[in-house]
Amino acid sequence: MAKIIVYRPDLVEEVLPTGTLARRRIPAGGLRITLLNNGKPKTVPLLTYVSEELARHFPVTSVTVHSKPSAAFTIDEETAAGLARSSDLLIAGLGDCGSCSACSLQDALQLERLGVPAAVVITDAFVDVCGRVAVRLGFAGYQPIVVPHPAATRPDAWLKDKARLAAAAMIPLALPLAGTAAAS
Amino acid sequence: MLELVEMDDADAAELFIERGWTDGLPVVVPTPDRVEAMLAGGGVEADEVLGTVPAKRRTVTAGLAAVNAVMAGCKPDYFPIVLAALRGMLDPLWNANGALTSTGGSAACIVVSGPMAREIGLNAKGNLFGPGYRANATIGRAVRLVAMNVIGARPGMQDESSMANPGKYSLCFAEEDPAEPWQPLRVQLGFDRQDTTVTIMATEAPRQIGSHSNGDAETLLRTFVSIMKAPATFIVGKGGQGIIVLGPEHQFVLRDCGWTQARVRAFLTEQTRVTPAELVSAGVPLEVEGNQHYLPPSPDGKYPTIMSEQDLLIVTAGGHGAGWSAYIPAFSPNKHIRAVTRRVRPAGEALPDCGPDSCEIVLPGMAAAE
Repeated sequence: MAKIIVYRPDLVEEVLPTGTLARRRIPAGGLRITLLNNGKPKTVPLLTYVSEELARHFPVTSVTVHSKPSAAFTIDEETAAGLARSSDLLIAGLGDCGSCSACSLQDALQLERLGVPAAVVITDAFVDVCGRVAVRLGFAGYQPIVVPHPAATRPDAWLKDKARLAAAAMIPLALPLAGTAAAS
Repeated sequence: MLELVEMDDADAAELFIERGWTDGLPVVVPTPDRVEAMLAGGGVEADEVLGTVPAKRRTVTAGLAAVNAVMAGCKPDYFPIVLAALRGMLDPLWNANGALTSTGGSAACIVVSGPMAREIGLNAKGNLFGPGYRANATIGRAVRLVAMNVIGARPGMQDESSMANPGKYSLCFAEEDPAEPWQPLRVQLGFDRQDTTVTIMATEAPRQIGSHSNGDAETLLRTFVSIMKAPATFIVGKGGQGIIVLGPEHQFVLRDCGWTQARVRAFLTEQTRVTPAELVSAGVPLEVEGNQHYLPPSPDGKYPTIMSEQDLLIVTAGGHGAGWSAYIPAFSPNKHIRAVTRRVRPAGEALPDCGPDSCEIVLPGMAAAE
């Protein structure tokens, strides 16, 4: 059979060098938590409840909300550096759509590369896309914190319940286990 | 860098589908001679960078664009328009990372205004959004194939569209220059009449507007308002952009009544503002904490659908017959995405000459160092 030579039309996926997760530790004075709010509905209460749950397990000195102008953009390097200086733990969210999930995940991974433990809260519909983005960014296996989809239409009690579960999932991933906090 | 692969001639088109390199339709196989002809049609080198999508770590080159334009079925003389559309898509304002990934599933709607559209056979008349015109079908398809193959926005990969719309295969059309004193889109946007421009906007699907026996401008435009402010359209009350494609009969009515394009834009922008009661009665919640999509209301309590008069593009096109026009809304508000317009550079056009002083510029920091 005759052969032909053709051009490939695609770009071979570029994967960043494997990233290293930031060291999980609790500063002596307690955690400064930053909630990176992408503006999606119910993000601030959900992430606030998560931080309140974490405060039941760890000393927390401050909880600050930083709001992005658009869920469809990632934070720039300067913003990431500023957040890294002012945070001991960053919680990004809420990823409940395609672009906002990918962008919030990238925000969290930017902070991890800058040495700050970070978590991203997404809804279960977007686990796959976050998995693929994490691989591309050099953090294969990075686990988002997952709540059921949709979250934006849920009442306060539902948000509190899922925040409790999200915080429990976050502790082994983004923080030292509670029992070892003081020694970290 | 373009990569060559060898395959069986008889199986090549099928292999492209199997490897996920197409939009589901068969493609023209991008052999080196076809790709070189495409690059020549655009007057560009294969390694010329058209732009990047930093969040996806993707760089789009003219070479990869040419490969995908060949696959889409473009003729080489279409390629300057494909290049202009891609340069617009890769402008940070367009937000390719968000627009191509979003569950909103937008089309990359391409409006071509200017003499080059007519020269290459882009349809601006009857069956505007329909089949039968190679340039319309393949230019939009080329841009979508670049989005899929080069930027990585493949369904189920980095394109998370929930519904998408048929315009994602191709949504490209030309403008028919309107009769004076109305001006074509490119002139309205500040370009020269002899230029050809490409405007690219991430949009929902076109909606037809039917109004058949109406000789009064304001009454006619109220029909337009009725579809533009329907709360099921995502940008309603959130401040977005849109395209009005005015068919010949509706243009005639508006001009005959003495309306300018600016007056049409102002009227539609004002009349499509919505009250909270209108949104709530249509089941759209307003008081959801953190609902980023809503803007602070105006002093009169209304929310904009079209953010400003400049965010509504008036394009004249379509076929004669009973009164039809179309409305194409952006898929998301201005805070996330914007339309971008680029002038088409004809193949072989020299880059602007900055003059003899261009080498003598001393930056302030350098002057201080000296």
